Amino acid sequence: MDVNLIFKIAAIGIVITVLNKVLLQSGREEMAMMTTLTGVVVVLMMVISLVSNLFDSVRTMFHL
Amino acid sequence: MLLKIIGGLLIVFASGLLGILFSNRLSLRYRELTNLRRFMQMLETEVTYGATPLPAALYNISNKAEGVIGKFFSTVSDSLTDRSFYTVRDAWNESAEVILEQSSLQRPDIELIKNFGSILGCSDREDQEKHFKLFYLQLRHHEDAAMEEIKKSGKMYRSLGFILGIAIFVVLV
Repeated sequence: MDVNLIFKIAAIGIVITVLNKVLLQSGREEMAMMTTLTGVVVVLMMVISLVSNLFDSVRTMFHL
Repeated sequence: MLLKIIGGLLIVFASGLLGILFSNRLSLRYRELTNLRRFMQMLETEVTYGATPLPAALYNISNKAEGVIGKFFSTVSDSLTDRSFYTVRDAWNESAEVILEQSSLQRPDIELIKNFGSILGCSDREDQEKHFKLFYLQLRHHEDAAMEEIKKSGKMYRSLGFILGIAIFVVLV
């Protein structure tokens, strides 16, 4: 578990927010929506292994 | 670490330049359309008041015009003088296809210009004048659309390029 991942996710968040603002301002709502979704998917890809790790440890902890 | 920073800078610069390129193409289209209208007005003067034959008139204008538009006029004039086409329309269409394809003009603009080729040199002066007026009007419409596009998307492309570059950099690091 490293802190870098958190910073990375924060940076992606900031960039996606700015992108969203720029696209909204030029009247492309669908594109803005799509970029937001893409950002969510990219971040999910990053954390999905950690989430599965968490589930695994919970499972081993309670002997499920 | 240093290598990473250099690579990131390269990515950000490349995509930023790409965005600037796109927005420049938009403003280039507008400039080419206004240029075209200006030189079509010269052509109208040559045709209706000077009564110059079309190859000579086109040659005169191609001397004054610069860039793609000048090249277009000179190509039409050349292909009319060396008789590689039977009609003005064919010469005009061929040049429009070949030359204007390299310009920043979009497909509808080129179609509009090609349409005008079938009218040029086909009727008397007054009729030609009317057709020229109509052509200006249509060109003006395209110019307005191009201006609208610049206002709407020009700034967006520029900032989008840089931001996307930063996004790629962040994801890759």
